[in-house]
Amino acid sequence: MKGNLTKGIIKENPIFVYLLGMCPALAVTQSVEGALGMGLLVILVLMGSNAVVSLLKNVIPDEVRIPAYIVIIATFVTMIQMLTEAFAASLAESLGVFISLIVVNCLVLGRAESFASKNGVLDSVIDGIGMGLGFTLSLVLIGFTRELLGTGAIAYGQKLPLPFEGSIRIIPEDFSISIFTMPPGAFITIGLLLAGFTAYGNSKKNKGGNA
Amino acid sequence: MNKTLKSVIVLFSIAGISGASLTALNQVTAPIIEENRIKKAEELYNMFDISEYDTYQKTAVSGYEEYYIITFYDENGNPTGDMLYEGYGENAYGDVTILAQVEDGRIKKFEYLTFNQSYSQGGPYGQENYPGMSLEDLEDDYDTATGATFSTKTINDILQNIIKISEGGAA
Repeated sequence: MKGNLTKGIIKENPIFVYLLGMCPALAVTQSVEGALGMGLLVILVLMGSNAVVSLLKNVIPDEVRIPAYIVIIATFVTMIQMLTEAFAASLAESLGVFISLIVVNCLVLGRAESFASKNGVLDSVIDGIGMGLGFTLSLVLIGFTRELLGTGAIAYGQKLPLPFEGSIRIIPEDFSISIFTMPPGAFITIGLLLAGFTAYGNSKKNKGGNA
Repeated sequence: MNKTLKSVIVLFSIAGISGASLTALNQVTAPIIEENRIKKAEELYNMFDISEYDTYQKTAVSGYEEYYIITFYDENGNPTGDMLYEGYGENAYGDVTILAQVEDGRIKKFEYLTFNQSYSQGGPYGQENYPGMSLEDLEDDYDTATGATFSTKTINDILQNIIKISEGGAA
């Protein structure tokens, strides 16, 4: 059970190992808050859809399982979207159409198909949380790198409904590299982090091979 | 049971339960979302320090089916002194509503009332770029700079028409 929770963080990281969910990773990671918000919404969708798919795994005929999963996922995404618009309007506004696009996030359908449809409800929910956490941490890492290099400061309380707001300046404004807040910055950041992750994975493999 | 019939019943049931759940949730969230929208609109209007207005008039923008500009009039039937206009347009992505104040033929202040458009550079484009622009500036091509081609064109068109109306021209 613990393995299901932690595997998504490094070993089976959705973004840096499986390259799943790259659209939001590129599009909503201009800031830590946007990345964190998207990550939390994906965790909720993963938990809900994994639980329902697991519950209905013996009821849904094999031939229609993918359309059925899509309807279940779309329902959860729409629910999450309604709740975000109602209770975290600034987050909904900043994520825009990317909340609806969680429906087509390969990670969500992938976990429904490869895990939830073959495992029990509790394991599936834990898998959803673990994979969602891995996804969220990856987005936050990308968002932190982009926001820090692009603006020199990390803002808080501007998109998430926090009781306080402000920003912490880490790099003087004159030294910020604005391209990191733009789309090319997302590709550069993800490319570099992906290279780092792959190098780390390879070095671990080599060490294991030498031992 | 026939396989096809079972598939149909299962899919129909899942879709039915989904629809019912979403309807129930919508009953709860819709009033809150509407309240948020009104609150935001009020906040935005307050930012402009609007003069009292007596009437307002919607002007359809020629050549664009879904575009209009609202002009606010005082009790004497003249446009209000603050030169505030509300512009609305629709494109393939959705709608955008703009509140803009004009001074000497240039955009003085600019806010989005609604923004259901594609995003660029971390948010709605132009919030900080449009103030100060004239009709000529707005005719420049910003498409390649933002990547949000349709949104930028719609916003530019609305602002151009607002400036034209503020100068007594036709939309």
